[in-house]
Amino acid sequence: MAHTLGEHALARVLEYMAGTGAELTDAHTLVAFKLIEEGLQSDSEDLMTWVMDELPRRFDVPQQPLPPVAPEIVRGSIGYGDGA
Amino acid sequence: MTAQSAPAGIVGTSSSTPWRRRVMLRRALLTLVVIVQALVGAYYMASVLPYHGGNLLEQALIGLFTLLFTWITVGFWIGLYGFWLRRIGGDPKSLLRRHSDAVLADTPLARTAIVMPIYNEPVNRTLGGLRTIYRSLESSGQIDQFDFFILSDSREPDVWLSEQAAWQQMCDELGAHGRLFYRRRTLNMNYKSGNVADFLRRWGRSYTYMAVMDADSLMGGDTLLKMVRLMQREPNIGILQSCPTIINAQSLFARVQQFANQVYGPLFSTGLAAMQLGEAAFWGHNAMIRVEPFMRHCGLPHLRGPGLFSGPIASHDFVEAAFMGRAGYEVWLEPELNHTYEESPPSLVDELTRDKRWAKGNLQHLWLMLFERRLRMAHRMAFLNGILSYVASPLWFAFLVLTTIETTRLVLWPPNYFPLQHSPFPLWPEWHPEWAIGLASSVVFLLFFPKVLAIVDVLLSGRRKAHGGFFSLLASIVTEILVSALLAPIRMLAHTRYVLEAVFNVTLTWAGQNRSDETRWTDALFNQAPGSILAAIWAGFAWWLDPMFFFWSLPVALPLILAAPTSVLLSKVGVGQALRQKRILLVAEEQQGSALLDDLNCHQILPEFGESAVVRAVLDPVMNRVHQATARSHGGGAKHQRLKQLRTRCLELGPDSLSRSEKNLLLTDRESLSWLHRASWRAPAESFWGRAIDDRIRQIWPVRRDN
Repeated sequence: MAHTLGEHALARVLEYMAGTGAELTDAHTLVAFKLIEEGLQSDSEDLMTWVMDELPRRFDVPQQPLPPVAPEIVRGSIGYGDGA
Repeated sequence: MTAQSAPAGIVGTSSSTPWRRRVMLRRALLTLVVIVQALVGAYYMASVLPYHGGNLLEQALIGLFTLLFTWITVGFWIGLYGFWLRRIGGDPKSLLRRHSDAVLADTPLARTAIVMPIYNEPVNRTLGGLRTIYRSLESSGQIDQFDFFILSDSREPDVWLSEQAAWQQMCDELGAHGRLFYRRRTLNMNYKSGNVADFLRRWGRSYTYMAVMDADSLMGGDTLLKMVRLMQREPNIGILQSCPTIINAQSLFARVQQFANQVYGPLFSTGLAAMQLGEAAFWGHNAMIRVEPFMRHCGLPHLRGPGLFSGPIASHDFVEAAFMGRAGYEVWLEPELNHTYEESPPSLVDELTRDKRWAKGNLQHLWLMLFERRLRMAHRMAFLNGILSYVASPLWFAFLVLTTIETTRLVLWPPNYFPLQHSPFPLWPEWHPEWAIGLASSVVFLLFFPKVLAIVDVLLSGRRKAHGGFFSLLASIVTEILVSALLAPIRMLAHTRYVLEAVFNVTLTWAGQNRSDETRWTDALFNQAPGSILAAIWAGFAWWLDPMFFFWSLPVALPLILAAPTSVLLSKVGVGQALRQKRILLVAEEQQGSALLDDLNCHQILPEFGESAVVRAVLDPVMNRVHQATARSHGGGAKHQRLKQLRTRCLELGPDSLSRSEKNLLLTDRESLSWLHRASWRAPAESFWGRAIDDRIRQIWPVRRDN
């Protein structure tokens, strides 16, 4: 069965929320429903862009701290001993 | 700084003089018995030959035989000495005998980096090993002294993106933020040693020691702590090499290597360590290195000789040990350090692919052995040992060729009774089959007697049950000997080819690479066909020449003719596991369990996921942030324009529209990663990225797929 654009957009919003590491609740679902409803009623020709642009204003994206990639650099050099 | 002035933080010193006298004595005795035995062997060989070395061909045969006989004689005596030392409770001069466990336990630790250089390796297994090492050290309560570095040289975007994903996952899971780091070089220079040197230039000065791991290394926290403490107690030691045991073997090939390593390995490693003491070699991994002298003295110069002997040094470890020795530091091999592991290549094809690199690397050492200044003689001998490991094969091949020529000449040409000009006395060709049998028997004895001793060692040291009991041990040894006999001529021919390729700087296209776990029949037949055909022609010629010569040729010809089925059969995991069920080729870790192996095998860092690492890097909000954190800004200019083109193409057509180098450029650019993430989530449902998002959704709500 083909999905409507609204279904695609709803699934995408929920997937994005889940992907950020958020524990999805009914409140998140309501935010998503509301967003899609408003998007469908808006004049926007591109529902996906409108919805994804709007999402950060309705949903606090969790920003879990990332591990530091590397410690502070302590420069040294490689020597060639007595044979060079 | 030299070895004579101890660095700060080191708690003890130990006199090195006694071991030097002892090792000189041991080496002198070894040299004496080897020379005597080689001379006796040469004499008997000359006696066996019809003209007793009276012509050039026979002289060449005697020369080759003596070289090969000497080579196996050295192995024989090392095994014998190792057996003796193990029977008396270990080498009294070994490093571990110097300090009691209580003294070592009271020795303070020092900052140590665990570094794992990797290059397009299987991510879950490789970093799973590092995770196990981390957890083992953590359980020891001493994790604070250790930092971990994943040093990637990987070029495949799906591989290095997965490495970064696994690194982030491990940091979160282990609580290792600020202790487990990831570094990927965008420019791979000077192989693995260049990767480690890059680490040292950036962070080496922060650490007293560095433990180097291979991609398949596994080490227990207790062993690493003991190694650091030994180094703390022994400031003269620059490198402490452990003797890794092969584990985790699945295929028949790997299980045979694993069994041989565990049964015969202790004898040879004990004997070798006793002959080297403080002048041992570095094997490149599962070793502890004192960072400061390593940085100061172990930089690898580019070779400036002709052909093979020019450019970067391909095989670094022996050279670094030699340079450390030249700087006045000791290098020790300590076989009694336990819980140190590595894995075997899963198939003959994998082993030979590795050997090709190693053959070239070891042959390069000839230049250093001959011309590098002020190296210790023991390290020059270590170079020679490595070179002969591969050169022995063409020598054996040449011996077979000359033997065939000699036999042909004797059968087809009438005897020459006056080979010496101006001599009035005829020289009668003499043939003593009983002497030939005696000589062949002595070669067999030299090769197999250390294996007998290894079995006795297993029985006397109470390790019988670790191998499934006496009858399982017996069946395993018969299996191992059979497989070794089948493999020896195949390895000989392959190594001969690698040596010739390296020396003449050419690549002879014949065996393709098969990196899959199991070798396919078509690949095996294609790869082994030249050797099999050569062997069949040789055996056929031998039969035509003389049936006796045919039977003499069979131990070499038959394995080569059977090389393809041997290669396929040995690569089979199913066969390896079936033998394990029948309690054949069992090893201690399988019988008694291993906490390290259990930890490694019961956990997978990255789950099996339908999408590629590249798609995940773009779509996954967390992963995209992680990759941005490890990426850099390429700035403006022409490259910026190029990146804009690439990201647009990637958005419109998907990542498969990009080449590997284009992906590598795009996915290491922070701005592009951010742009692609933002744009892909806004892409139409029917686009590549829209479908990729739908695929992600289906994995979370699979029921929807059926509606």
